[in-house]
Amino acid sequence: MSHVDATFAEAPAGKIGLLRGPWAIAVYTFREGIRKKTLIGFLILSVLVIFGSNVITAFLTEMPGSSELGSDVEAKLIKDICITTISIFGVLITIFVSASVVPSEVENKVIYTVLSKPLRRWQYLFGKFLGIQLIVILNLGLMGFLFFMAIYFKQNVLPTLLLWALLLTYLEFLVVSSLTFAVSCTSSSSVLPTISGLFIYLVGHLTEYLRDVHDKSAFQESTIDKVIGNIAWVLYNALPNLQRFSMRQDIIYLSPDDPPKNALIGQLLIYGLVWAVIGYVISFLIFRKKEL
Amino acid sequence: MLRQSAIPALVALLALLGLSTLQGKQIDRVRDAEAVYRWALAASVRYGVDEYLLDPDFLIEQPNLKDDLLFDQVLEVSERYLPDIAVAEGEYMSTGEPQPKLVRYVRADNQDKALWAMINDASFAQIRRDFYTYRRDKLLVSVSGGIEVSDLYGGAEGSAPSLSNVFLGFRKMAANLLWLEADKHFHEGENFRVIPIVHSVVTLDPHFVDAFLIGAWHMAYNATAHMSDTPESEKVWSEKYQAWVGDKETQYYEATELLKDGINKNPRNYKLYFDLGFAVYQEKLNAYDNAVRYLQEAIRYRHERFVPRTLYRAQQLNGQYEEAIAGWKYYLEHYDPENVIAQRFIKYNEALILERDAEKLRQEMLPLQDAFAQANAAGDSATAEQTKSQLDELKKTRDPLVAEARTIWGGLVEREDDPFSKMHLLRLNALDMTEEKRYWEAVYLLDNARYTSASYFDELSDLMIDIKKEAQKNGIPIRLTLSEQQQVIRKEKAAEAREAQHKWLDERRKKS
Repeated sequence: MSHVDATFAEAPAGKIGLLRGPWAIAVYTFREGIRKKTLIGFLILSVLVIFGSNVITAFLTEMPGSSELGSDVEAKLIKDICITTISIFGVLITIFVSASVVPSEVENKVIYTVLSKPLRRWQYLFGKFLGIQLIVILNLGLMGFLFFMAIYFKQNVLPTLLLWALLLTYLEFLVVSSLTFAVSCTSSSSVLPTISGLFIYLVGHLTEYLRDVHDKSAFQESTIDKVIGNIAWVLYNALPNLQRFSMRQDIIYLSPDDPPKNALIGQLLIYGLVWAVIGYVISFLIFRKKEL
Repeated sequence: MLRQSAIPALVALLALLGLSTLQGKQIDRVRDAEAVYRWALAASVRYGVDEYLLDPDFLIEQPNLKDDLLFDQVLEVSERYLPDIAVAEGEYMSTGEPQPKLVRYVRADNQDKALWAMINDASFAQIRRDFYTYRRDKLLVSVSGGIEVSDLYGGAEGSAPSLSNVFLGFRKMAANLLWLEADKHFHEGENFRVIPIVHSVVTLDPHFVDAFLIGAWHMAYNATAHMSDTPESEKVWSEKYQAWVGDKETQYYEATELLKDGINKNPRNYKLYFDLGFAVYQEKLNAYDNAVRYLQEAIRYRHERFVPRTLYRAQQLNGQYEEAIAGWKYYLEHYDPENVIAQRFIKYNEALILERDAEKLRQEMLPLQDAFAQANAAGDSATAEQTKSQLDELKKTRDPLVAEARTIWGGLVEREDDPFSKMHLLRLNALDMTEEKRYWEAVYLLDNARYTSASYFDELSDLMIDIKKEAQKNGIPIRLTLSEQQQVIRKEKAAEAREAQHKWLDERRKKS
């Protein structure tokens, strides 16, 4: 908070830069966030799993002569375990952080102090949101670095396609964090937003199913089935679809200049950013009217 | 604290939701186009290897499938859309025509962007729509990748969730856990539990190449290790494999199906072609033509150095000696000029060419020898003389070939004590003795030889049987042993069974 105080102390009375205030909020959110024991616990667990993947794969059968043939079952398993670990622990960290930044400040009444500064609510929210992203990026970067090293020691190659996998993973986290953040603005406790965040993650991965429901309803004759199909279609288009980011699992096995991959990454980046803004706007609409 | 009106924010929210919907549709369009792109890639590779997408005999039983129809449309559009590229060596069909442009583009380096642009072009719109419709209606069996749960859970009436969703996007992890389970069963000796798990693994993770490779190895090698050979007369026709199969052959063909499925899903991984060509077709099915075909495909992609060596060996086994020599010479020139094995194999193939040509001449001589004997018996001296002069001509052409082959084999035996060369040298000597009617000596020579070189036991034993039969025809009473008589009966029964099989197939094709 001293950083925030210092920032506002330097500013002329009643005036604070458009982004200076949010940046100060973001920095203190980041500093407080990385000290949380839960986050450190998740990070340690993910490190253990990443390095434990070598043990899991140590006793696998290989075909006769495959060590000369360059069988890479072990490397493949390590990559998949690491990607999955990063996904699971990363999303848990994301949900936990996103769900707690605002409610914890409401609970311990720090928010009154912050909002008493010449800072608009949207700036406060933007700063908090930015702080969450800094924490997520840091954790993702750390886990990604460990993954990078694990593969480098195994195969003596630098898995540069991993960077794209991490980007897509981050975009998925961005969507989850923005919507969880929006829910957290309604609550003074972090329990509801945490559960909501998990729910958002699950629903996001099941949205693809709605497309199947719509396709299959075309074969049905009953009116109710067709109505359900149409509802499914509307929901499919309205809800965030986290399955669209599933390319992150395959991307490390594709060639570097695979055209569909190159086409999709840009589109997914826009998609993730749009949903991030949607989450932020929803949180603004909720928070602007919140009685504190 | 200033309060702002909510209306701009609400408007922005609605606009953003609309934008997210549009962007989502755009992503779905790209993903759908990706499915078409990957199918076209896999289908082109398959077409380049087999010169068809689906086996014509398979289509007799499944006439509704749309793979060939759709692929023909793709070829037609690609011929118009894609710029011309040069036809490289090995890019010709068996009819002598160049392969379709699409196939050549898929095999060329750095042409993927052009293919992707074509798939997304307006001229491809109808093909994309047809693809989605046929795929939805399960009329495409050559579709690669992805998870279509209705394949597992039932037809269009079912409403089961996609496997990808059930695992919340962690299907690769599920595949890996199943793989560990399969490995456990293998170590416990339960090979038949491994195989269904392998199918599940590759369904969940179509890019798990090693699962295809090791799964095929389990099927073709481990599962069949304790099986007996099925006599030819007891083999049954398999609609699935379009072949006559016994217990072992069923497993071999299962392995080929698994590897071909792997190729559909990973069309540019050389390991799948290699295992299919070498490990299954060559080593298990003895189908050397298919072995050569798939090994030739393997070397088109980034591969290890042993792959072309295996190809040249397969060409030798398939009787393509000239191509094998060219291959080994290319290997010496580009990889390892001092490679002793390559030099030896060049000699092998040179000698095999000479033996082949000599054998052709010997086959031409056989009826002339009979005619000569008949003419002599009938007292027709004119015909006998004419026949004898033809025989002498052929012998004059043949003898130098045999002598040269003998020199090559002898040189290899002397320098390297090579068993393969030894076997061929002994074989040549035995044939010479047979020509000179020294049947007993020939049989004795081969009898010793086959026990010194176990790899060639069957080949030399068969030659012994042929020599004994020829001796009997010429009035020399060399009897076949009991095991040799059984071998003769087995071969005759197998030949009868194969004839019956061909007749059955011909009638079936005529009916269809």
